[in-house]
Amino acid sequence: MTHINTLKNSELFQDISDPSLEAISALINTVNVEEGDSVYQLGDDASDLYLLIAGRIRFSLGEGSGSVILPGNVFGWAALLGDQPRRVATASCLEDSTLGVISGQALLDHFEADKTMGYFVMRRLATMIASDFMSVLSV
Amino acid sequence: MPTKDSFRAASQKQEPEPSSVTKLSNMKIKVQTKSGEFSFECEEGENLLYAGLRHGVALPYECATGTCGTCRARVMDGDAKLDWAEAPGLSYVKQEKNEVLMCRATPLGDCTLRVPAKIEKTDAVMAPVYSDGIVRNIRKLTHDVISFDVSISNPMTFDAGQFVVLETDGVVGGRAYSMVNFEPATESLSFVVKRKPEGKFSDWLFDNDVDGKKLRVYGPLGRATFRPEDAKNILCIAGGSGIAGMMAIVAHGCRDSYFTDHKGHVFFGVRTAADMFFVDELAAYVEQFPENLEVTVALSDEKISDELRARYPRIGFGHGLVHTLTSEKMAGRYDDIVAFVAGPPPMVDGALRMLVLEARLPGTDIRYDKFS
Repeated sequence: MTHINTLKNSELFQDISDPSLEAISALINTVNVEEGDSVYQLGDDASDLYLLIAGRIRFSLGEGSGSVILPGNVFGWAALLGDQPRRVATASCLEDSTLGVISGQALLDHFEADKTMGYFVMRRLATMIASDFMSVLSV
Repeated sequence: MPTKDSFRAASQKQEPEPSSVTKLSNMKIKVQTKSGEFSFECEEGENLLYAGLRHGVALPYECATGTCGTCRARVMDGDAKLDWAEAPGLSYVKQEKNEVLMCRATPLGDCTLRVPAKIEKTDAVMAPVYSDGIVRNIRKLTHDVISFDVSISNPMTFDAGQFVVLETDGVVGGRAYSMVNFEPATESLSFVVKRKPEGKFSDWLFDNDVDGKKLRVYGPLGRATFRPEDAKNILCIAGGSGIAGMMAIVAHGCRDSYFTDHKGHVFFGVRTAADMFFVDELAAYVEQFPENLEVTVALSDEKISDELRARYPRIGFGHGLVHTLTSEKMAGRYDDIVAFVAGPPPMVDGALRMLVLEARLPGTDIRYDKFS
């Protein structure tokens, strides 16, 4: 099953060409998770990136900022950071959900092979991280 | 401290009035969970969460006041009324699918709920209860921080780091506050409150003569607690009134001579020296265990004066944000640590990032409650 359209609509991958998205789509493993299940918790190792295909995810960072992730969004981007990344937030299912799970290392390997794609994704990631920090600081 | 008799004269009973009418109107609540079905009774006007916890059903919660959204449930059968339409935690629920926050929902009759979590029955002895309380001993600590005691009708035993929900007739809804003091089976709870812009409860405390006023107390609540059996060194990072629970943790540690064998590191952040409070109390704790207990106060908006250092020789001081100062002072000293974090949300978020990414503590050794 291809997830090109879902990837294309996500903030992280919106700048990527269709052939590159096809390559990323091939990395996705689909898993179903039940309402109430934890996707990850504070301090967990961050090896995977997640694309929410269906359902709703509660995402919360510490005490201040919490949000609901809707289908088409990518979360868990700590998996794209080097040096033994770990989770600084928690993610749990608000309803039965379908996740596209992408190995962070496999994706980074792809970026290494296709540096143009890697540049666009990481530039977008930097913008997302900056936006997250600013929203925390503005609380 | 009031006498028992004076207390009885000013307060009411511990539980909601079990009159024959309300007794008959108790509602039967069934809860379907991932670990089986539980049932309990809910009294008229009581919310679903408090009723469940009171009966030893360990329903999921964090703030218990409508903010965090953790106590989400779906009403499968029956009806329940939400009492706070603007509760921030409602952003996590789909009301069109009959989802509610149990802490803000009162049943209108017998109900069946679905709670998407594994839960269990807990020891009823430790289950939270209602108490009636009387405000005592109000002290203004700084221009925007007040402390007060609440005498309670029945002794309460709680873990250091826990909180209760206080309700008063003058303010809609309850507010969660951590206890500052720690002693088993106490009849007096101590709190510290920072005045918040448009904070209804803090306005009530600051703007009225509330000494002797009645409160309703529900607790103890919260899982970010100090457990001596963990036998770990302690790191407390607090901002502003977040120091409350840390005071209880340090009090417990000193009471049990925990700091004879374990290190205690307390970092307390405020803006300026004029915003400091509890520093004398913290210095007195350090005096008891000078080898192993250290307290550092971080002033974010002011340099440290020589006069301040001279006034508190047992206390360390630093200029900067408290989690930044903690990072500097604790580098390489995170062995066998359990960390407690409380304070304003940006400070908590910064401290959590630091503890995960720099200190590399496992999530199980980082404790905090969400009740902003």
